[in-house]
Amino acid sequence: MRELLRMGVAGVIVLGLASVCLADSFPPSIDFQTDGIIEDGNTFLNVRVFDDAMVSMTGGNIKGDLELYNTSIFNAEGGAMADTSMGWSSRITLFDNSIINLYELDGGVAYGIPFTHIEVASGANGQIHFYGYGFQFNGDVLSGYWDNGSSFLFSIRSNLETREALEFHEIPEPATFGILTIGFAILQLTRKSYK
Amino acid sequence: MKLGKKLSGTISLYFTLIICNIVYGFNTFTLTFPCGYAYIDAAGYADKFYWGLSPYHPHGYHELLSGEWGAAIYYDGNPKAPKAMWLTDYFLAPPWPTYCDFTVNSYRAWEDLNNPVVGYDTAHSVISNNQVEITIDYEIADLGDGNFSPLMYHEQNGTISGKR
Repeated sequence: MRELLRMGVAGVIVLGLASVCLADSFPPSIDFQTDGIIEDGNTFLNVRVFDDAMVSMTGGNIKGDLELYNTSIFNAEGGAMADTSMGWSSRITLFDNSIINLYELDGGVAYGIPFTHIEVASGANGQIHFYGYGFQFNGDVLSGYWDNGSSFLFSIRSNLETREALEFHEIPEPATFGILTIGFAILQLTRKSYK
Repeated sequence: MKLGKKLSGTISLYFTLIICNIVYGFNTFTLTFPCGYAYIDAAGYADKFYWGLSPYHPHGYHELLSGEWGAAIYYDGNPKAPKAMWLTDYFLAPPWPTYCDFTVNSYRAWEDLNNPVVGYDTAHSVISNNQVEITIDYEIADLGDGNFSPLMYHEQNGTISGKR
């Protein structure tokens, strides 16, 4: 009986340890030296891109950090960074002459606070391109909307290298685009009526 | 039990962040509270503390303080002996690697409902090498408006305030 009890306790302890290990287990990290893609179903802790590799992210999740080196290029067209359920933050760091193009990316927001931080390392010459509209940048936090209308919020490092690297590419928001289209159509109709 | 060169046991550090400065080298988590947030790495290092809108501070988020917060450890036979070894592997500004040999075992932040601060006010991280394991607990403590705070300001009338 005592043996059975002891085995039972041991079983509970093993199960307890297993659940702790599962809770603490990290997804894998990955390095890209050549072109690659991160898509739906991919989950990484950290991602690093080297040399002149170009990596496109169309989905999936980077829960930790993204680091770009050399002359690499990263195109963020979908997916997410940071895991707010774990309180994990993400960092996007550009080293050397790397470039990131941000068309769409969920950086994670909790309690109205950005969970993804973007910066160019000191002494580096990175370029950070944002494509969207409604940009508001107070020197530390950047908000705005992607082309698909979803909002974003990122924390931006306020060092000189990062400030000089930021480039905002305004895409007309849907309402503005609609007005422009209607205006163009009216102009065309008016021209025809004059003929 | 033969310990040999291995230093057994766990060293626990307890960081109480009284709305003060910190952030990173390893992977990071975020501590939040209603008028600010901080990025902190799993080794307890920090360089990013943001202060936002509050009744006393009518401004958006901006980085607060320029100092950094980091911890080091010394024990006989540590890889940096006779010097102490930084817990974090990377200081952000100026950027330099510390070449410590720690790795991250776990890190996480969450809202502790027993802590009256609203937000991710509590965190826990564990780092280790093949000799020691270091556990760090974090907690945002709100000491109340006007009470002692590391954020002290000279008002226009010359008085010193400690407000959120």
